[in-house]
Amino acid sequence: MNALTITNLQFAYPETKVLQNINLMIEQGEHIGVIGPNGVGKTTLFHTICGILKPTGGGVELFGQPIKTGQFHPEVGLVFQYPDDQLFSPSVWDDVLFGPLNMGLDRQQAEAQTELALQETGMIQFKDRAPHHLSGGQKRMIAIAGVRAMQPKVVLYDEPSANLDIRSRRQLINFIKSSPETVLVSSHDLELILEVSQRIILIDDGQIIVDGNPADIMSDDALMEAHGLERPHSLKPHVHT
Amino acid sequence: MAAGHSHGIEIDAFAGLDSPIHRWDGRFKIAGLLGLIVAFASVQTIRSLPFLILITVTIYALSHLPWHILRHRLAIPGLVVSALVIFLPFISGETVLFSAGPIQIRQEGLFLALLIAGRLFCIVTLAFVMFGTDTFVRTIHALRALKFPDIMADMVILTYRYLFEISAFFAQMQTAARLRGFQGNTFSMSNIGTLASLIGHLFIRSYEKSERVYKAMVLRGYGYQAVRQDLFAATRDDVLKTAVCLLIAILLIASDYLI
Amino acid sequence: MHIPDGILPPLVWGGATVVTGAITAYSLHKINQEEDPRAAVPKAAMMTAAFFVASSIFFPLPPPMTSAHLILAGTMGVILGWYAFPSILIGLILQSIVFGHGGITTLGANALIMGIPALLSFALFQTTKKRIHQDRIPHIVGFLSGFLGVVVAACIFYLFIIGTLPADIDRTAEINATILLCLSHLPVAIAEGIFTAYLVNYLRQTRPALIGVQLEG
Repeated sequence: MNALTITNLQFAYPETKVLQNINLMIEQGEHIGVIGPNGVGKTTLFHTICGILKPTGGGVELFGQPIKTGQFHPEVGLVFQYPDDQLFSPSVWDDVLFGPLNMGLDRQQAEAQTELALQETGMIQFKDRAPHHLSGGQKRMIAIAGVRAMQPKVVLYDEPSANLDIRSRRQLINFIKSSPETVLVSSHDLELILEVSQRIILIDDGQIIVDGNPADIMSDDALMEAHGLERPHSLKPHVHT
Repeated sequence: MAAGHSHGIEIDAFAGLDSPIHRWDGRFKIAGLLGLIVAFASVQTIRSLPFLILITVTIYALSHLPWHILRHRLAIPGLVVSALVIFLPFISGETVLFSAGPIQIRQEGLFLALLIAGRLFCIVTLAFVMFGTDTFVRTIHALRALKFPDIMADMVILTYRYLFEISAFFAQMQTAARLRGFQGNTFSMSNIGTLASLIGHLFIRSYEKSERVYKAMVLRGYGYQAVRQDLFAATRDDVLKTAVCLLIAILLIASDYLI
Repeated sequence: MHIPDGILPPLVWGGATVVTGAITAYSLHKINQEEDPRAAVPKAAMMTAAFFVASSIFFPLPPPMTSAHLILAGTMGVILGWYAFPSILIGLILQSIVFGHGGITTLGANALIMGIPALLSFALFQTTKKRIHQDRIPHIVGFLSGFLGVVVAACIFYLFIIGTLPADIDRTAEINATILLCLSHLPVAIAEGIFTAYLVNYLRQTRPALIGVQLEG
């Protein structure tokens, strides 16, 4: 069974069309990179997938079940572009615990999942800290822990490497790479996309332009340039003169 | 609502100490100490003042909170109250205790000033014991358990969480304006206009942020169902401590009004 | 303009607490009538934090005065509506727990000082909302909200303080003093009125949703 099935998805504001005719099937455990210039609907796509925006047409199914806007879907998690938007509790522990408690788990179970998520992200030593006292990289990993603690089957990452230093970025890449869940990553960091995804989709103007093998797509200079992108450095032939 | 941002974390600084007050169940502690505070604020005679001070000093000593922090907490309310009561001994009352030329110190006014200052000292001290012996978050959880409305408790926690961030952001904005030549310390219409835009922008940024935060909260199930909060478990000791406080509170009021 | 603990006699702080409790309960009742009462919680909380920060800054006054704090009671009414009163109470609770300013037994009295002008300006704003895009209306409504916010807050504050004084002090002298003290706040009230006029117009142009109105045109 597919983890995600997106059929004829549309999203429009009264004046502008943001997403048009998005069709996508994603298998369980697949890691997918989503690339494209700014403002073409990547974030909107993520928001409709997890049910915080109501599509104006078509729909999203998660393991065969339709996603209903406005309902709580702990099976799909979204890691926000700005971790400060997500870390709204006064302590790291409370923040990661927030989702599991809302799932109606008893306290012991919720705390066990919180502990596990903080272990997996390597953030357990910060559990009593206040989120606003952490570095950008730490905030990012804790935002991820907050999603992971709900044990979702699909995780969406929106620009996860924005504002990260080299070491935090490396930690993040390794983490996503080894994640067992179905993953969608939207990013301008094409090197990161190349490392974590088995398949990429290129979105421009609200439509899927191409869907396929990361190295093949990103090596196509004409295609990349036509959509405001650049072939990543690691895919350039190294010529020594 | 002037905020002194730098010492915002101070209230959590002593939550990790160990004392009979720290070990007291949060809900019972608030009920007991609040009972005393209400009694203190209701006392009307100068006779009761020594008892108030005795009780307060005893509880503060039991709490193991450092004395120099108390002085810090008392500074601002102390100043405000002094400014308001300093003239009372000169203008209020019949019994002249002391006179030097045109200046007379009268007993009734003096007693009232002392009573007000004494009540202030005792209430501020007990309030610090009440809030300083636990973390801010646990205090709010305890209030929630005491039927403080859920919507208000959620708001307190969120406000507290974003206060420092918004304040840091506003400081950046002010710096940016200053670097482009804004001098906010002189009066002019255009300066008031600039200030209105700065603060308006702050409100808009905060509003936009709140929309993103709301999405993040909903995605993790906010408002989806009532969350079970079984954080507190009271023992007989907790009940006993609260009972003692409430008994003292009742005795204080009774003696103050009846005797 | 906060009243510390210990000053007010029990009848006054007790009465103020009861009135504050009633207004808060009524506000929450109004909020709960909305379709999804929790939807506005982050907005109200974030705005409370923003008000907290904004009220900590000084703004300049014409000589001989130097500067004053913004009170922002009127602005809170305009932006927060029924959330204004609970927000003010929350600001005060935070202030007394975290910073130790304000008071515990005077929470009710202090909430009334800020909350009544906020509700007045909310009512004023509601009646003019439909005409907000007409010429001068945002400036007039903004000015009145800011101006009345300060004047009403100051009057309630001094009524609490003067009403507390012992009975043997001359009543007419007390009343005159109250009027005089309220008048002394006029320059601050005018400055905050001008500030609020600019602010309401700025929000109307840039983010009308924040004050609950539609975009122009």
